[in-house]
Amino acid sequence: MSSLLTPEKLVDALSLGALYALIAVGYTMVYGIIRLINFAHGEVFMLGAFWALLIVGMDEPTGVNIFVALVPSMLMCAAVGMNVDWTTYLPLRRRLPRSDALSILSLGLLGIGAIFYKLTGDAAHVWYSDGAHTAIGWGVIGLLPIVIFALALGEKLEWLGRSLGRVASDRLSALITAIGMSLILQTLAQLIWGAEPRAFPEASLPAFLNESVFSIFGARVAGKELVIWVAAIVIMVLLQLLVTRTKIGTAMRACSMDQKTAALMGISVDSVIAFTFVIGSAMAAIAGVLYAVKVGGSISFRMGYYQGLIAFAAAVLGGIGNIKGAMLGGVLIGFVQGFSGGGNFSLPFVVMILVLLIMPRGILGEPQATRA
Amino acid sequence: MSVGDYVVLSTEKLRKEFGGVCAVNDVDLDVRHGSITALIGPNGAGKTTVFNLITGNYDATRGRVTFTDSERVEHSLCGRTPDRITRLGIARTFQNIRLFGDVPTLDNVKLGLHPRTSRGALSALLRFPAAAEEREVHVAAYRYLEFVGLASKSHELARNLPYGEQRRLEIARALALAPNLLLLDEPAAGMNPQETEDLMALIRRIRDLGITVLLIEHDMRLVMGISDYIVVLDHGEVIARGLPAEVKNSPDVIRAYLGDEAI
Repeated sequence: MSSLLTPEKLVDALSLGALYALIAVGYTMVYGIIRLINFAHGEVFMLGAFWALLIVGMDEPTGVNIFVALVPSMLMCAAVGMNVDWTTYLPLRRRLPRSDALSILSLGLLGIGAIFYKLTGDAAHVWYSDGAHTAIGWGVIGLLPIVIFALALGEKLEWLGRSLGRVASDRLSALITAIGMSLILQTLAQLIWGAEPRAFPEASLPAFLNESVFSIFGARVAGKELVIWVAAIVIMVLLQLLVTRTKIGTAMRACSMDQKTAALMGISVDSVIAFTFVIGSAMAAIAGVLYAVKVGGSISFRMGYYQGLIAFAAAVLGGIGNIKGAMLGGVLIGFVQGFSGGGNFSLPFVVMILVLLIMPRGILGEPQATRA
Repeated sequence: MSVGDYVVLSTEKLRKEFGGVCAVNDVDLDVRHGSITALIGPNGAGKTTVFNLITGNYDATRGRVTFTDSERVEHSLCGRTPDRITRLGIARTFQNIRLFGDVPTLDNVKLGLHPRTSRGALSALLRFPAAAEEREVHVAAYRYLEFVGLASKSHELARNLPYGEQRRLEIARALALAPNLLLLDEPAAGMNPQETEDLMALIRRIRDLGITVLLIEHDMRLVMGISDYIVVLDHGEVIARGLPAEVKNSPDVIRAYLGDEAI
């Protein structure tokens, strides 16, 4: 084993840190507003890599550049993130959910869609030479009925919740629902795309990604590392501007302080929450794609589970609910992971526990509970 | 506009059950524009529940709530969410104050102005229009603080204000929403006689702005002193309504408050 501290490891640590920070912010933003650990966030990260893979070509390269594929991947992940909220968490936090039993319905449809896709997948390859287009096509076709059913049936079924005297769930049921959602998405991904890890085809990766751009302390910095650093910094700055300078950012902060009062200030709390999921999920998509670019052959249904948990640890380490804390925690965990060689999944948690022993609310955590 | 021009808020057979308990039982309520209407009754009479039904915090078991906005357009409030109802023009304060405690008083009021600002993500990046608007919001928020007499405390954290001032801040924040109807839930609770006196003057000034006021209050001096119209609730039902003098002498009201022996 090489020495503990090498310049190569520093480069690696910086990139991992940037990526974990991008994911951790998604966890922390959602927690900050609805006090829920959205365990499905890791799966959105995984889906980000898969959507991009579909577009650049899963079996044969389509010739699409990975950076071009990033945009639809972000959009798809934003849609998935928002749907996870609408179909799963929204009914739990509403007293009288408009979109009620339909969450089960849309999940069912999602499952049926997945099986349908599996069954017709081979046939589709005969109709179209290009697998990617088929997959996207099915994705869009599959989404439409879900949305229509959801809207139509949700309104009709409102009386059911009303007559059952429905009340909002407690946080524990939301938490186990989040874990369930995470497993459902993982299983779906495995059903659809199989279990073996994949990588982006060479043709989709611009040459400069693997060429060394410059060097730090004698360690070569490949283009992809630089892309990760720049992307992370730009996104974090934009996010900070969004949260502090815009109307929706103000609304987000108000919702994180007191949702009920925020609603009485004319803020549509559910839209703000949906927006939070959209932003977090789009960032997770970027992280997913960049992670798969950095670590070849890492795209698998399991990637969201491991990386997601580590990023969650990063969010807790930095102080859950605090965006800057998540960035800091991500970088710290990235360093732990990078310097330990990357393969050890327990070390970030050891560090997290050690830090929490001294600072139980995380490094930048709120000094006391904001709400009872 | 004079008092009684039109009905701002009307409820028809409004009912709310919690399990087997009927907190609000077929309540009919008419609040005329430009009036100060008081909703009174013993503890647990269902007054705050009525407020929560109006503002969409509870869904009614049955019944209708109709609101007329400042453009004289009628809206049914049934099934609407609190944020929609707020944007239609109903603002409220709470029995137990709900301010954003960890931010300055001025920012609390600015948040009330939130629905009327336009700062989108794009203009925030371009900055120029946003900066101009930010100044306007700042000035407007300051005016509302001035109106309730808190201008000198604009930079203090809301939770550090004394109780009476927190109540006035909550009113300023509600006014910033430019409501047509203002709901005040026990605005005088915990106030000393002087503060109550000031509050009465403030409520009158709010009415003079053309904002209709519906309030819940236990302080009879305040209720009798400023109300144009009073509705008395007991056990979720309206037991009396009318002008202050009429209500004061109603045997039903005296019985509800003091028991049978008092008659």
